[in-house]
Amino acid sequence: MTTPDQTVSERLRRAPPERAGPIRNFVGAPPRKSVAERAAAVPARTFGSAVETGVRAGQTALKVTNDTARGAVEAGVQTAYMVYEEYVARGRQAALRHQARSADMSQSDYDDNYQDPWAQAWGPMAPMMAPWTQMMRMWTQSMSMWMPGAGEMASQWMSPAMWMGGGAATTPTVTTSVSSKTPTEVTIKLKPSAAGLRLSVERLEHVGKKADADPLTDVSLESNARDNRVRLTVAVPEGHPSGSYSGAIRDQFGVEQGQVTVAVRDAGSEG
Amino acid sequence: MLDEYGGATRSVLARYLPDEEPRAYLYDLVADYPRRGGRAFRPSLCIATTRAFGGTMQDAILSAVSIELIHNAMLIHDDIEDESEQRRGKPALHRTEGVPVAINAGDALSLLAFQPLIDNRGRLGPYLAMRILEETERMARESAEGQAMELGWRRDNVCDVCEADYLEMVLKKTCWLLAIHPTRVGALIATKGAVDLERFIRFGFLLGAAFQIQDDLLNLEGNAEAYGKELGGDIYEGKRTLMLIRLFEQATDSERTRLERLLGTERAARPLDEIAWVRERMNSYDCIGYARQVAHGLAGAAIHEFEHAFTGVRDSRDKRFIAALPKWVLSRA
Repeated sequence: MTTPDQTVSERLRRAPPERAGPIRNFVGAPPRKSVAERAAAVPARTFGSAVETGVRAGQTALKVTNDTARGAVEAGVQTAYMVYEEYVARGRQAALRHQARSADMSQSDYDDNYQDPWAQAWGPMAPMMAPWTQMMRMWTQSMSMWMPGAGEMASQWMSPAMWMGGGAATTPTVTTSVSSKTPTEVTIKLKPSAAGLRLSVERLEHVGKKADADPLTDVSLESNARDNRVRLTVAVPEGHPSGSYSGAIRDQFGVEQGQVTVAVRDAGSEG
Repeated sequence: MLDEYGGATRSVLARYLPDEEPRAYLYDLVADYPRRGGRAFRPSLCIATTRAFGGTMQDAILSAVSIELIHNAMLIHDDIEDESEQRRGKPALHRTEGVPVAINAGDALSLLAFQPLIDNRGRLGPYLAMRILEETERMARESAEGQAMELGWRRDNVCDVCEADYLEMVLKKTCWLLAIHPTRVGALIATKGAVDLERFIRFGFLLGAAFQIQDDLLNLEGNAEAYGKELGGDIYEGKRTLMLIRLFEQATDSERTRLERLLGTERAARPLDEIAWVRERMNSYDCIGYARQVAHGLAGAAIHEFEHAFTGVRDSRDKRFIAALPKWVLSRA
């Protein structure tokens, strides 16, 4: 924010940041000591033969004979190993902090993530991958709008089981629970791309669209993305008109992943 | 082998450069740096590592293309940030097209690099394709952090940068894209993730650091035509090279003050005779000789680490090619 009485040059002139040394502390590591201090603090055995080999190889290549050159090679290689060790140590600390944050998650956070197959697929990377996942989702969905047959490809691409399994996905295992006074036959068709997705089923409409046949609404589908299992529960009300009822199974993105068909027989017929 | 793998990379890369409008403001510019050539060191290293671990060139080619595209995208932005005048023997893109258009071309080139990574899914499967994408994200982040360190030092005229700071900056800015990422991705592709990738950081760091120091040396005393950039540009730009850091360490108090004052002025305001004075002081304190010795030591250590990184890998033309790289980076003219 500038004020009217500031001159242009004043506004353009930025006060230098207060600091006492180079900006090089990216991950909260303690302030660095000088090279000499650090070199003195690091036991030689940390680097061992690697430094010796590096020093020897460098000296051979240069035909080093004097102590000055020998010292430069040795100091350079030793500093490089020190930088590497610090770099790796900071990476480990960052990973541990991340694990600790994950452990602090509340049960509801955990449950939410547990239910999200993408969170399972990416594990701790899930938050970082969220923008990319969203981008890919938009891309595949927009692609499927314009390309014939692309919808199925898009849904396969977006199936986390495809990513987790490292290859072709396996069709989920289905169990059914049917409550009906009359003989009833249930058929479920699921695409392999449904694996690992959060699925739901729409109400089952009468296939022939009989005017007096209400849809079957007491139908639910639970999907366990982690175990790649699906459990369908259907209840047919007593006296419900016979006939064939069907509804789509969709994933959390609204893509059709299969179909449920329930054939309700007349009370006197054989199942 | 650089010719062979570089040629293969370039031919596939050409398919990813759109031949459509807007040409004059974007796609011709996007294609400019890749078409200027270059050694294709990074994609070649990726392909060679894949083959050394038992994979094929076809397995690695799309990842190699992506690496080369990202490298070229970063060069466009680097040239702007460094105010470089030349790239691969021709004027830098922003010198001919202007900074805004060049920045946009760099952005587009970096985004184009994702298409081959997405296309990896067809040959490598979704799991490996995703792992390579993750590796690419990490490499890009490390490179940006390293570049930020260097740019920050120059902006704030930080003059107490030590050798360890320099090496950490190089680890991030140079080594990840140059060597760590290509070897990690190559091994990942060939072994389908069965090999521990951490081993490649140490090898890639030592190799890349030797490469960077040699590159900085060439900037001072190389063959202008072969080097492809203006000689002495690093001093003009105030880059914290190992030679400059050594000069700060060796200089007297008055020399250090003079040096700080020079680096604190805008690039365009740095007098030629002062630049010549810096160069003369570097000679006087043998900063160049010192840096060369360090580079040789790092290359020697890289040879040692190669044995660890490629342990258990059977002898092959590709393995021998990678083993020879530490010496090759020092022999570049």
